[in-house]
Amino acid sequence: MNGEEKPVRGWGKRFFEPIKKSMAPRIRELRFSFFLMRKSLLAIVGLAIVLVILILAVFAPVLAPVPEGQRDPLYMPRDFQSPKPPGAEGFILGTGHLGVDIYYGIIWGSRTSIYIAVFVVLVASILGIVLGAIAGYYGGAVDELLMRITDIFLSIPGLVLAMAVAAVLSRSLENIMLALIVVWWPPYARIVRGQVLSIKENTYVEAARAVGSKKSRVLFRHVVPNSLAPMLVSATMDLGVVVLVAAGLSYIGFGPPTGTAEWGKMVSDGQQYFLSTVIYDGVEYNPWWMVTFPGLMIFMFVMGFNLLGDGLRDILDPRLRR
Amino acid sequence: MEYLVEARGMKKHFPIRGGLLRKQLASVKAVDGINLAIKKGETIGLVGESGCGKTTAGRCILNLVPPTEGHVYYRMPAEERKRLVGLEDQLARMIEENSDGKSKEAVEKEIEEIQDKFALDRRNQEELRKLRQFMQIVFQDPFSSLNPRMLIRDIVGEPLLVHGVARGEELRERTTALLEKVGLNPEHLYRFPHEFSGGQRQRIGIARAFALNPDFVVLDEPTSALDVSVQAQILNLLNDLQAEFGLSYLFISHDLSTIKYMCDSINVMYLGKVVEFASKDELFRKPLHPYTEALLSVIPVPDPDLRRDRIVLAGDIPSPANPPTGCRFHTRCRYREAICEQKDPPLTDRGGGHLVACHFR
Repeated sequence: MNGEEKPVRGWGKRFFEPIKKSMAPRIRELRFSFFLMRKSLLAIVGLAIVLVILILAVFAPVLAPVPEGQRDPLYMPRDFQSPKPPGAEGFILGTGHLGVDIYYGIIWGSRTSIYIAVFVVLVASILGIVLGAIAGYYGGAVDELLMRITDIFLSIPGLVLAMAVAAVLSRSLENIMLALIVVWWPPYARIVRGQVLSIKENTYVEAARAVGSKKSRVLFRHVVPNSLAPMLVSATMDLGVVVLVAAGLSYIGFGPPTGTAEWGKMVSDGQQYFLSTVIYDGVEYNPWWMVTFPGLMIFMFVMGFNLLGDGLRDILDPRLRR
Repeated sequence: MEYLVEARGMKKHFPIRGGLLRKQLASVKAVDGINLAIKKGETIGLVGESGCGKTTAGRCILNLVPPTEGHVYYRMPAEERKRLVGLEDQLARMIEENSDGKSKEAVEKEIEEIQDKFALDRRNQEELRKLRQFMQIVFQDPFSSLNPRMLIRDIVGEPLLVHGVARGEELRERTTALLEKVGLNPEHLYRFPHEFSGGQRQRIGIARAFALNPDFVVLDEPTSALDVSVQAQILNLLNDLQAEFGLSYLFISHDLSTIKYMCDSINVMYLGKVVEFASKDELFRKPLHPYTEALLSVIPVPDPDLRRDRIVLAGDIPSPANPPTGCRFHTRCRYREAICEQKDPPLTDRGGGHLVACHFR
């Protein structure tokens, strides 16, 4: 092991060759992660789907320019005419209720979805990590108290609780997110607590105490970083599920007002036309496009993050790792 | 005669809880009243088979797990120690004679005063944290004692950082120097623990323990997870470091040959108690306790023609949750007699500081 710094693993040797020494090991780890991921086709597919949706969201103003004079980009432009099928009058994916542009809604809806997913999962995981870590590490009465509170939240079916919270608050995207956070953190707290309980028995945790580290340092530098892997996997998968549930909530009517670029709401708006027919240019159409396109987007979003999460599980699996 | 670290009557009982209300049903008496005293620059051995409580004793003496009973004194001056021993004897006599409560209370109070000054378990968390600079531990398993998500630089530098000894450029220099001292290279700073072999990891563990120039280090079977050639390297490294810094070791092991190589005097432990204490030469020349005798008889001798009587102990070590009555060793002792089942022999001096707990020796 002596002598010159050797590139540790063969793959990726071609990339970033001269690296600052202190950064090298972390980058090496990251490269190894990608190497592991490349072995799983489904994970790559998941990553690709997620990337496509990310690109849609980032380039939304280019792909679907906001009409002049409109302040809120999430407000779908409309012509107040009856729905048109895909392709008609330059509406690639047709128009919906009140003549809203479905294509515009799909593009800007990806922003809404990512915003909901990231915000809800991020806040819920931070809550879960902090509460779970404290409960697991300190144990005793603190653990009992925190875990019983968690149990109370878990004992109410998630969707019902979210509906209750959303119903109390006014109808808006922000309040849906708040309701989802309330529902989402308890499982994370459980997962993290379980991990902390097992990780804190490791000798390196005792070593950190023996060296004279403060309790908070032991917990957040040694125990928590090693306890996160399972939670990261389920958080990644939840990025998709959150959007699904949020869409469900706005479908039932807790969501933002009609005409907002949000996939769940778009399905809900289009549903009233689903069994009827519309006449455009003298031809009868069954307006399938109003629910199909936003529905497909929800499907892709959820599947993308699920596959990615599955791949992440393999990457973070310590047995595979070394 | 001044001791750097001294454990007096140290006990550690782990509760076994059960039932709906988590009532304490019984306790595992991992360490059941042992005395250990370590002078400056000395290596004391603690030897015994698996499960006899030697590791717990090591963790207790550093207060990593607080002892259930008894105290560990650190840097107690000789005259204070003399006073404490006198007072404790006095108290024991008073309890025996059932003398009146008042003078007993006075003696107890005086003992408390000394304990407040020198006992580790009387320190508050912050004081104890500061004291950890001077007392360190090297763990048995080099594979689990290093945080897998930290760089070697951060592992070795952590003690310096948390005690505010060094930071920034100075921290980097000192960690580099530490690695060199234990025989590793500066480029190892930027690697993760999994990139090292067992022996190298143990060197990293040693570097971490020595980062703050401690004066007392517990070596908890530092070589038992390593192969033999690496064991010798690590033992020599530990000896060199001791010679350089004049520190004291508590060397815990089940391996008598490493104990013999490292220690000045040796405690033999069986089921939570010390059954024999003697200097290294005395113990290996003239073991008195039947348990020590059995242990020594099975050390391999590199001479194919030599035939010796090996004493094979029958059965397993009894459960520390439910130790045998009387002498704890009587279930496996070949000199067993009736008295052994009833009376626990005290640890007594058989001349020249050779202590044995046996009715017949």
